Amino acid sequence: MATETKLKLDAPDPVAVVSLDAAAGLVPLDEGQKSELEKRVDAFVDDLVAQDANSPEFGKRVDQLASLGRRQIAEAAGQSNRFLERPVRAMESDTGIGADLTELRRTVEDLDPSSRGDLTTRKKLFGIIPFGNKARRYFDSYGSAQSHIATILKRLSGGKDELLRDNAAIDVERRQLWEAMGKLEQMIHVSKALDGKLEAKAYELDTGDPAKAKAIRETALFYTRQRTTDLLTQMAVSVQGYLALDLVKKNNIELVKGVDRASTTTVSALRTAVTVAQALTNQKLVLDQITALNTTTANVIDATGTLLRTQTAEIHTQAAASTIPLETLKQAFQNIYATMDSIDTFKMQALESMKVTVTSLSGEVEKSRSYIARAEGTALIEGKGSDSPLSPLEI
Amino acid sequence: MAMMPETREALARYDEWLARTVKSPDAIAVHARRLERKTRSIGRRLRNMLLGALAVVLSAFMFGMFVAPLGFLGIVVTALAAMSMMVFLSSWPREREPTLEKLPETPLAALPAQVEDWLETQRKALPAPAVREVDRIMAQLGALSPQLKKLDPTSVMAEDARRLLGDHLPRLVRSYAEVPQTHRASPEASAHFREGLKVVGTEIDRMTTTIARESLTALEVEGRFLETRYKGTDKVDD
Repeated sequence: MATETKLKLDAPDPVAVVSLDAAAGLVPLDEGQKSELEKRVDAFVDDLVAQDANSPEFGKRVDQLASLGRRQIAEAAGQSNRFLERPVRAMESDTGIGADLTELRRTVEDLDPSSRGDLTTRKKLFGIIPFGNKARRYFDSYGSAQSHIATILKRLSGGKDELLRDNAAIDVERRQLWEAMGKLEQMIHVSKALDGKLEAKAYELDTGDPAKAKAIRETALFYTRQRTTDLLTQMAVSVQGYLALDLVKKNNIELVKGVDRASTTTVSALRTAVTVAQALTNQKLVLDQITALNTTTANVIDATGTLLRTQTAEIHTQAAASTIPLETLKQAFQNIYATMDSIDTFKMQALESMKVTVTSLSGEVEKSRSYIARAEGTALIEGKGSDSPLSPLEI
Repeated sequence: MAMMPETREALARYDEWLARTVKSPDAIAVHARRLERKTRSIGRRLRNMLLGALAVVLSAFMFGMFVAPLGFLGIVVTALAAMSMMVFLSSWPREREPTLEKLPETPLAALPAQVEDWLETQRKALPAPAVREVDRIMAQLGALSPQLKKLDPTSVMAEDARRLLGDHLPRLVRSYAEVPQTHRASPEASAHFREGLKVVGTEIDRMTTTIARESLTALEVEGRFLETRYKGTDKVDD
């Protein structure tokens, strides 16, 4: 039908694994932050070098290096694992939106004029004796189905709210994850600066104090490099989690679109039925519940509301003017099917890309867990990490 | 900024004097809370006593109605029974002093109060400047307590809280108390002790913030939801 724009729901692509080299630098740090962090690094390294290499004070500072960014890693890990805890709502077909859509389809199929044979002929008893009006009987079935349809549509609208709430939660989670990633980025900057600085210092000390140079290389520099890898690994996982959350959000938005369209096409078909009934049998079909629902839907989603209004207006003129009004009605039902089919296709694709994302993210998270464990181990030696001189700047 | 050793010493002395003489706001708040808990406990006891006496009188009344008339002796016995019931309930259940061994078994929700009570009994043995830190921790425990009640007891957070309050903190206080009296007042011992208390304090603060952040996040989500649902800043059709 000319009034129907084709609904196309796009399943977003799965999130690829983020490599370690690509992980750093995704969250930008400004120059002020960088120089402030470098100042801290300089102070720390100077302080470290000033200590006697065998003294407990030196060891204490090395311990601080060994648990560099421990808290930031733990925080970011907690945040990025959230994605895996998030249930893939509405994607399962036996609960929520999936079930409602299936039920809507079943109910609508019962009303489809295509499944009722030729409605324009009179009904005949035993196929011979004329008996009752087929079309009249057909339109009567709308009256009994309307409350059921209204209930399903209301449930769908509730399900849509759930999706929107999920998306709101994702927005907040992504904001928090972004902050956590900012801190990680700072720590990565710190550890890389430490690496360079310690290396230079060790080189400098090679002639004057080779024992200290050795100690710096074997302890301080060793731990710093280890921590750089840990931080980068966590960063890669976090970035992946961040993108994966966006994937869920996009899926939800598409699904909301689909639900909107399914509701709209259903209501539109029922309205067409009202017009067609008038034209065909001179029967006044009262579908109050649906009409009332339509008004609320139209208020909520303005865009679809407008679409629905223009659509119905056109349908009315078409149905009234058309010599074959039943064709219009059949077309309206086809629109519902088309919408639901595209939702089904979308769900298949989306589930596939979710599965890929979940699998790759689970693998990465598993990998990063061992790093976190290592950090926790060194934290026990150190005892505390909150007032370490090498902590990220508060933004 | 570099400080003259004399100045530092004088400041330390002043700190100690201040801690010994002036009660910190934390200490006052802690005291008020203890008083409130005590009042509530007395109220509970009074109610128990009243209910106990009432139960005795009621059962005597039933006996008189359905079994046999009470008579003078019966009334005397009833009065005696009611009185002894009240005396019994005035001290039962006995309020046990929290001990270190029992702390790990206390349910999480009751743990802060127990730790507070336990710290109170240890307070006298602590060095004057450390008393402030202890007071601060006790005040923090007061803030943490209602939040812990909401926590799922099996969660990692609950486990952490239990370990910190039920094990690490008491262990620190006990190991300080085990330092011989003669050496307890030494700057070394009290510095270690205060350092440890500070870490515990920071950790409790962090827990309180983390738990609070969860409710804050939930609030933010609701706000964001309303925004997208009704204002459409995040267009569904984009």
